[in-house]
Amino acid sequence: MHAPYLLDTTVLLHWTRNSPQAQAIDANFQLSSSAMRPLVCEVSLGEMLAFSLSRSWGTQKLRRLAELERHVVVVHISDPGVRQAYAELSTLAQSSGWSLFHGKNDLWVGAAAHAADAHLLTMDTDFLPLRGRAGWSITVLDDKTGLPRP
Amino acid sequence: MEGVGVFRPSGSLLRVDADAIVLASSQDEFFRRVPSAAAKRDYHKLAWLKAGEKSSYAQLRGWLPSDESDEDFNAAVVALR
Repeated sequence: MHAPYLLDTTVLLHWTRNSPQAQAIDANFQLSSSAMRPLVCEVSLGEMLAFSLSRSWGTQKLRRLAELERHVVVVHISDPGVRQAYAELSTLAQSSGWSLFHGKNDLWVGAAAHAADAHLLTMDTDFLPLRGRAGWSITVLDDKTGLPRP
Repeated sequence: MEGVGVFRPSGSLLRVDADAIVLASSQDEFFRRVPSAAAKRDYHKLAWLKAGEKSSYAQLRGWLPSDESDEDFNAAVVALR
């Protein structure tokens, strides 16, 4: 059984816009034909809402944003497993001198993916040091093309 | 009773594998109430679609369309990070 994907905020934004990057992601990961729902960290829903306010979305689009939650599995940061993963990831990032340590929302997203045993799809290069590390399953995508970074 | 508690997935106590039965002391006050384990959410199970259910990814693709150019959108997404 393969792991579900947890979509980082930027990936979710591209997917819901059906941008050229989303098309590249689908070509690589065949998400449209997946028999699983996407996982999304609760923090990303807040970031999506912030994005909608900054872009002055209209009522109809805001309603659709609110309805988006019905189609995903939300990983809440109150989950004890997520809190534990956050503490461990934060400590690792700090002791390793990774820039990831300063992105607290990124730490929560990473922790959510780890606790859910999901494969994280992200465009954030701060996650690069975790790629290939035991216990982590991550693909960092190029934000211009949507293709996996080498 | 001293031993190892085995919990159900729901978090309730299933049984105690006893090592010893001794008189309770003040240190056992914690066990006056039966402890419960934190229920662990099975995200893989939650993620699976039910039979006949439409693909969530397919439904969400283009869920929030926009008239702004790709350049503007990309810049706004980068600024979010």
